[in-house]
Amino acid sequence: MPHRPYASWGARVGAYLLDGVITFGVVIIPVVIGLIIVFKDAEWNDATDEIIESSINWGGFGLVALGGLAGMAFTIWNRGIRVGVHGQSLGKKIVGIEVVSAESGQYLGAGMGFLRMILDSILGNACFLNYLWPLWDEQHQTWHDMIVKSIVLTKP
Amino acid sequence: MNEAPRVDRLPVSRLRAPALIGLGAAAAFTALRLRDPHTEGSWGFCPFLAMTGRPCPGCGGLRAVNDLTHGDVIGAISSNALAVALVVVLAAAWVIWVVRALRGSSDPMIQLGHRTGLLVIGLIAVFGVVRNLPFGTWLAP
Repeated sequence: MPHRPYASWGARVGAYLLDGVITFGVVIIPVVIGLIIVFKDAEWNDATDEIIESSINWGGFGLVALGGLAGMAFTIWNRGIRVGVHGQSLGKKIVGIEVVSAESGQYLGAGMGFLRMILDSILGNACFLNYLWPLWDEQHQTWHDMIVKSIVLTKP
Repeated sequence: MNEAPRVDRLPVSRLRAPALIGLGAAAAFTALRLRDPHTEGSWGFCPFLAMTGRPCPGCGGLRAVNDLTHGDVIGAISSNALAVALVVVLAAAWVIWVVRALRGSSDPMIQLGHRTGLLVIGLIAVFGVVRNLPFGTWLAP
């Protein structure tokens, strides 16, 4: 069992928000470029006060969808696999905390990291208490931490 | 003027967290008194209720706290009995916490082991189910 201090709740929330900002940065570029392509030749029909459909470049929506897919893939890598393999998402790396197994103190591995991310998104959406739980839990665990038996510690 | 230095006498740093939590709670009670949650949508809408038309375990919680600020315990319990119990438990835990801090402890306000935690989650889930069943309508908001 590692004897480093647990990560503070504030640090974990900070890492979560940073990951959100970074993911937004990944998604926003293809989405904006895609939307620009969609509407760059758009013309307005003043008589009906509607956009002229034939002037829309529908292909641009492909890039928008690609942006969404890129965001999903990035999240799976960043908040799932990277956490499993290196103990840290990019946000956790910035604030200096890491996820390890409560039993061995080792990193969880890619599979468990991925499972932890999936459980995080399900439990977090089902009930906000999941994210408050580290405030009073003995081992500072969320529910997804309890299921995959992980703890979040400060990284020296 | 001529007082001996008593820097270490008062455990000011240990009392900071209890004081902040106490102020936060007082602010929340004041806000819920001033902006009445009985007015629909005054504090937003519960996404669970909006999607399913059924109350979640937390529904009626803000109304219950508002009722408590008016001293209406029966009204509060009929809005959300679990929230009333939570307020009582948290208030007691806070008082005990302050006493502990004064005696030199710097432990957090509440620490739950996994078994107790699981029990709490189970209780919330059961409450959420029962208030949606025919015989549990008295627990619905």
